[in-house]
Amino acid sequence: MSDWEMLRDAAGRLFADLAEDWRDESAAAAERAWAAIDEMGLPLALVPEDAGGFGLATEDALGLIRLAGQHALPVPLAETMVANRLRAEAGMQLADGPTTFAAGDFAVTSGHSALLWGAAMRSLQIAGALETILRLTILHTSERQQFGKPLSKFQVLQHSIAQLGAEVAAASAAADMATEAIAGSGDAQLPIAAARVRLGEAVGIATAFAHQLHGAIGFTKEHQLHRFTTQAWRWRDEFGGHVYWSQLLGRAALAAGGSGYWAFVTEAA
Amino acid sequence: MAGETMDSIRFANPPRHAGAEALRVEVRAFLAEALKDRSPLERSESWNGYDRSFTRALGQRGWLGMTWPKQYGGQERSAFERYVVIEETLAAGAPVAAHWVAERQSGPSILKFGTEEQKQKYLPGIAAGELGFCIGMSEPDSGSDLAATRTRAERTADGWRVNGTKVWTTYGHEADYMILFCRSSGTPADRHAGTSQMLVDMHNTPGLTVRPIIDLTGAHHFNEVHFEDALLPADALLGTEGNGWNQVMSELAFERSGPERFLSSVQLLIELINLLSTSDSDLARAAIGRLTAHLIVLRRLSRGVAAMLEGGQDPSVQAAIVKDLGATYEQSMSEIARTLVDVEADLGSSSAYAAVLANTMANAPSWSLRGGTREILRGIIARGLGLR
Repeated sequence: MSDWEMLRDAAGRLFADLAEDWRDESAAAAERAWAAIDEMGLPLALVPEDAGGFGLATEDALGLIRLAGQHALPVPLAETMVANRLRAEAGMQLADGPTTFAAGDFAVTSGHSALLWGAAMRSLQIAGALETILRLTILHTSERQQFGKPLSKFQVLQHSIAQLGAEVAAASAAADMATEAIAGSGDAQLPIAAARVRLGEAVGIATAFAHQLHGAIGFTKEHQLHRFTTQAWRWRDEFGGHVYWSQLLGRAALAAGGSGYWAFVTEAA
Repeated sequence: MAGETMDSIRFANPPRHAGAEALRVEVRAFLAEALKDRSPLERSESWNGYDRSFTRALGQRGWLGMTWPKQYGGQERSAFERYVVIEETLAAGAPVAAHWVAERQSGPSILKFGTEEQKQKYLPGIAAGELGFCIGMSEPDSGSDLAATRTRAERTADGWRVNGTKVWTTYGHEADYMILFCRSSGTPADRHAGTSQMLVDMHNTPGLTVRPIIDLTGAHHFNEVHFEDALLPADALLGTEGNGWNQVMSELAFERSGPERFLSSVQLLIELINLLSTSDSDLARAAIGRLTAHLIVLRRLSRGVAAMLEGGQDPSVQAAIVKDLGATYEQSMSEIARTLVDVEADLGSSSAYAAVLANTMANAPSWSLRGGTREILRGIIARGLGLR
């Protein structure tokens, strides 16, 4: 097992432990969670080794953000990881605690802008949240019985779950695309725009299916589904929403014209 | 853990393949010349456009059966290079129907299940663009419920006697051969057991007749193929007697994984962009951006399936996802187009957009039926998620 795989597994176990206490929304619980995450060094995961990080490949470190999304952590780990990366690239001091950043922060001279980093980060968090939404939905419909059998045995519901699964698969691949773009040195704008538009739509479709399939219990604070659906609704509108990213991509596609369109598509991502 | 649920629907990351990108340049140059007189309406026929001379030209360039062994006429190139040829011909609206079925599914099935003699007899001809195949699966009383097949092959002293009827046989009137799915023992109640596949010569089989079925656009693509005491030689059997169900499922996996599952309406998108390219409408920009985002992600998913095929993995659930999402996408195109531009759909119009819109709209209903209905695909995805 590689160092990265060991770190990922340890982080996964920690995040799962922290998620056990999701009903405790106190500041003290968040502080305890941050202390454990900080002890593992995760806030520095995206920072280059020569700037004080521990030399993790960018793609791998981004996998931690997806993992954090799968567990809906009560602390801004993803935001702090990316903020530290941007601080390191700007030659600034790293944050000494949980922090965040905005689209216009950091005057970027080399590397990707804070907007693109934020958009890629939200893409991964959304993919993680949707993966958990699918898992929770399969769990619920397999356990919950009505009319004498599990919900998951009704064909009409199987087809809803299949559509939910297809959206999550597309969202997951879109997040992979955003990961490659932000970890690479090429122009990341178009692939991230495409990922964000597709992910935003997947959130709408997937959360609607998930809530319908969970019934009334999924609409309560008692069930944890809301932690993932409400976060996904927020995340998709931050660092550029549907209008911003779809118009950016559409403007470029229209500029290619009908005769140049297919070449545009194959070169964009 | 979320990981276990996701594994069954996870797609491989498509690699950057330098050879494939070099080939793309070559294919585009060839298509620009070969299709220079092809109208937008003809291009919107997508993979229903039929032209044997175009198919032969692809064969001469080594662009059919590219991944097959050289001894059978192939080029031993990667799945990614084949993918480039497939997507470039589709995106350009090339007439690919004369080789489509043979290259995509019949040839790969023969390569996987055929005898040495069968491989030598059929594969080089497919790779050269000389031999066309059609599919013999659906029947009047057996559509999605394929295992209910009633067409029957009985052993004779020197081969097989076949009785039954196949329908929706696209280009059965042009094809040289059919791969026939039929019952070789037992009754329809035996379901998957007792089924086999046969290679049928469409030109020289006594007792075989082909009758056209005209679709709602007035076009003749479909046929009904009737077998009445039709006689097949002993070597018509493909693969193992009684293993027909497994073989046909494998064939369908080839059929469901490609870019043809989301590019059927790409000519309408291209004509729509031509109309809107000078527009300053924010609504139009957002709509084209959204359609492009979907196309980029579908293409990534489909290339992910190619990566899985290349890596020897079974992508049947992923292929069902691509086909389900892809059909929904390509069917949405004419509906979205008409929210952006008020042009009356008209097949006879001199406006490329109006003609392509009419053709796209009329053909769209078939896209979530052919190659496995939407409902069958969702059943496959549900099974992949562990629900069945």
